[in-house]
Amino acid sequence: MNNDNSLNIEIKSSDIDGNNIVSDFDYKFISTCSYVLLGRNGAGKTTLFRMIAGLENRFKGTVQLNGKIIKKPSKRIQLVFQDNRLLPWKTVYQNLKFIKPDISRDLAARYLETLNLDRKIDSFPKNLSGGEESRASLLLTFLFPPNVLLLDEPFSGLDIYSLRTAINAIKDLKVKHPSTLLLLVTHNLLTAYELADKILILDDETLHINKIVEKSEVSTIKELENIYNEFHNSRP
Amino acid sequence: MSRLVRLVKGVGIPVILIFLWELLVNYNFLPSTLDAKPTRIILTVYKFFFYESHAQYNLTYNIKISLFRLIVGVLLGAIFAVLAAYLNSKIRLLRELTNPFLTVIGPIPIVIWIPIFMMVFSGNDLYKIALISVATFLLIYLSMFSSFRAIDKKYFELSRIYEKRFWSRFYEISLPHSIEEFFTSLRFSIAIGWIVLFIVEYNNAPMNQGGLGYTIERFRSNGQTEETFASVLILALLSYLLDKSITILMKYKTRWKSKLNE
Repeated sequence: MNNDNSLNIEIKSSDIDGNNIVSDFDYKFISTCSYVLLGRNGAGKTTLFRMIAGLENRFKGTVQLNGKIIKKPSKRIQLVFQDNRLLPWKTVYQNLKFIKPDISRDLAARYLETLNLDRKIDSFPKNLSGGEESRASLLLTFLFPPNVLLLDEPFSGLDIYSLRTAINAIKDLKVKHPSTLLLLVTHNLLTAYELADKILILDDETLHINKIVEKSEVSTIKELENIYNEFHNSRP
Repeated sequence: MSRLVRLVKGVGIPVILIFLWELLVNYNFLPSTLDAKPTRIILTVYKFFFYESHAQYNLTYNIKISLFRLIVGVLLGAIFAVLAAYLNSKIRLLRELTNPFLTVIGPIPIVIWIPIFMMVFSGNDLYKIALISVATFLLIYLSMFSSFRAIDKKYFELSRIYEKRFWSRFYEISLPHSIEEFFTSLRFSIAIGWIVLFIVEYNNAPMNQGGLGYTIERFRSNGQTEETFASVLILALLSYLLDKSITILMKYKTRWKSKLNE
């Protein structure tokens, strides 16, 4: 039985406060692969993710999940934002309960343990370090494994140890739920190399897909870095 | 040690003033209308609650009446204010219809409404509660409305992704986000509520509807100076204790704002 999820994006143009941030973006993502989107800051990747998640509808075109047009946000397409979005007035456990009201304390502790956060179960977000908060935000999405998981630079500012933990957690999620389609925006080439099967290099102006690099084409992070730099240096 | 020094500094001036007051009364420097020693006032407070001879004044009963009017008035005003502020922050049409009106009448001093409410309720006891409710409503509404409007939309986006409903967003996002503004405006409302309550109870003493304002007016008109001061002291203590309880509750509910306060 084929449980793969497909995400078909056909965006002709957009009008976000008078700006055509995303235009002529046409691509079909399938959950048999994990994708990393590389592009410079301000290129519009976050806007694209918001369109996919149903949070932004000021565009012409369609976003379809398994053939059905996405009209509003839902648990099926979850987005881990660039800025961590734990509710600051709730403890880590209460934040998990906000997402999944029936989660027991024991189960929450087990989830937290996978990301080395079990000792922080009763902490408020203000008392977490940046890395801990990022990992806790990531954990919210693990409660309801979605059809599509959009990760918008979720690891910026993480130390190498926390980064490794987070990457492993996502790999685990992908192993347990292979049908979850993973799309990641990052500037971190280690993350891109570790998690991607396909790397989409985007145009800075229009967000067109300028180049697709298959993971099999690169054997080291250095090679990936060379491809990325080469591409950007060739741009005017 | 520093705590003790702080305490001595804090109570120093009041203790000196009370001591001076005691001396002035002792040596008959004050007019007869103020002829009440602080020590005797404190003794009178004690008598109100524990002496058979003072039971006739029904002070406990009158305290209960005043507290009932204040608490019911503030609660009703607060509940309607928070709900109205939330609905207006979320529903544009409702906001456009009601907000200009509420913003205009909000700053009008509540005492101006006293004669109008008295006429509307024909002097019925309910008008005291209604006045406190309106004062509370306007204060809390204005504060909560601007606070609800200032909530970062990213929290609502999170709630939309996890398919939270309208009222879930209210009590899981809007209310906790604005809880400090709520308690601050609640404290103001209670302070104003006491003022309004005292004025109307004091002025309506001839109507015999009870309450601390009524009691104070009765003692004053009978020339019972010590009892008057003792009742005022009880009123002051009650308002202080109520305010202190709310401050403690506010500190607990906003502990998420402090660092390393687990």
